[in-house]
Amino acid sequence: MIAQAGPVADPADIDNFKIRVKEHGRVRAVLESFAYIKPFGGMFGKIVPFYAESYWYAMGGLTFLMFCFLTGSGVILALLGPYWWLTNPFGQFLKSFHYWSAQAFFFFALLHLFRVWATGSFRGRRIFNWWIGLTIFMLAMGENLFGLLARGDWESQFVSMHSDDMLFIQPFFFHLFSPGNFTADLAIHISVLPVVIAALILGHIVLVRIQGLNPPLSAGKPTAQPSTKKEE
Amino acid sequence: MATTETSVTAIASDQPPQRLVRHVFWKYPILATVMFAIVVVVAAFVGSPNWPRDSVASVSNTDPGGTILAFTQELDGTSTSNANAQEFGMGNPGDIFVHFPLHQAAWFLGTPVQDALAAWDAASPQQRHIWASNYHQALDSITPMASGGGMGSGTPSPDYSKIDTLQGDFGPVPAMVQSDLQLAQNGYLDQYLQANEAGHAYHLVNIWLYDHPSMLNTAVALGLTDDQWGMIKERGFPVGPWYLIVPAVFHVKLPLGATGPGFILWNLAFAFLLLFIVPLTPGLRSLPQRLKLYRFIYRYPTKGELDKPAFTERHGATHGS
Repeated sequence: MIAQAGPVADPADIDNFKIRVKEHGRVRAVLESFAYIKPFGGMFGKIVPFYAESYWYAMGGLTFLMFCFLTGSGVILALLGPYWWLTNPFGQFLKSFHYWSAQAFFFFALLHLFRVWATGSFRGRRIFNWWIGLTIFMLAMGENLFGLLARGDWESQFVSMHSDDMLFIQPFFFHLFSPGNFTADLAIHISVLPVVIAALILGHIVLVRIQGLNPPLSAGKPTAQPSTKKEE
Repeated sequence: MATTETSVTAIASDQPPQRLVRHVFWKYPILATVMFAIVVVVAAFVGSPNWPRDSVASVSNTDPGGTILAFTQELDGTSTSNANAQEFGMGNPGDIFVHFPLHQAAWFLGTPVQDALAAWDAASPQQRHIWASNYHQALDSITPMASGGGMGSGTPSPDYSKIDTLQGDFGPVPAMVQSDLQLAQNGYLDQYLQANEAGHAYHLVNIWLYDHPSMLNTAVALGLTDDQWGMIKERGFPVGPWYLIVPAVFHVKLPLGATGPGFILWNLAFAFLLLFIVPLTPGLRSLPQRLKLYRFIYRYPTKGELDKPAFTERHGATHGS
């Protein structure tokens, strides 16, 4: 039985663990603690509009989670090297984990892109975040290509030469290196593009925090909504 | 009372409530754990693409005729690597893959090879080209005809069992390519090429493998070249990079998409469309509002849900503007 909490006397207590337990139970209070505990608690907006309490609004977060999976597994793969990930059973498993995390990254990113478009969340000043998000997506496709080139199996060998005929031969794109150069491919995959993508993701999230969620679309004229600011 | 009336109006106009709710984060640890478990299980039981890589030795043992052809093309300047040598940042492929390795190994390859190298070194560039071209033409005479033309049909290899029957003005070329084949088959050339560019592991090996007919023929046979939708496929694995379907369509279906500049320009045009046309063009930017897909996305309250005490709002707007 969850006790309904009344108005809190001191607004500073609102994020207190005991208050949250009273509001919706110990289990949920523990699960959400990562969004309240310092120093990271300050990064999270604790409340969202009612309409956004939907799993569709979790797609961006899941894309970021996959980025974290990719980064964690990628660091270990990079430390132990291609011979390990191609031949050792655990290395092959971790390579597979990396591969499927990438698949999931694009899956959730596309769902996120659809959600943002379908809810008109690119309008007004939020177009800057639309641009950042699409840039992240396009860079991620490039990152994917370099990951394939750095993988070290037959497909990697073939694509390094085949894509060379198609993509990298363009003088305005690259004459800087050859994609058949495994060392360069790996360096770009693990130390150039991920850093740029991580920085853009950080900017993407910060802009969401600053600008907030887009007001909801509706078929008719916008209706009056209860002002949340009057409640206090 | 006012809250109830407002919420009824909002539902009638399909606009969901904008009032703020707390406690949306407890789902995330569960989602993260579930996703972690799913990825672990799929990784463990499905695996990922891992087809063994080719080596100079492996393809030279399975298709020695193709190796002879690759060396000859490198010597007469008609190989793929010759066309892209400047882009690869390498020297003359005939030297890199044939001439220099033989020179390094000449001391243990015997007098015939040393004599052949001496003849090659003494000849003019024109004479070398004539010898190599003649041998290339002779190899064509013992090469089965391809079933079609162009990249889609692959490149057949000469019949190695008939190599010794070839006659003509070849100079030292047959002795050189046969000895280089020997180096390739026993793994010496793999090691030489990796050591030759130690900072760029596999670079020269991959370049040479693309000169050999085997790699492209295998790709063609398995439908892996770009014009066969290979961009979204993997060798020996059912799931490929499906998310590259849009660039793949540009490459396969659209005019000039099969050329490098055309492919890049189509992709840039698509990026421009998403970045600027979709969000800024009057009419197009209102499409989401007309299609009303948001109705499947927003959370709408169940009957009476907003009247429950749990939704009594007490907090100011700290999120949303």
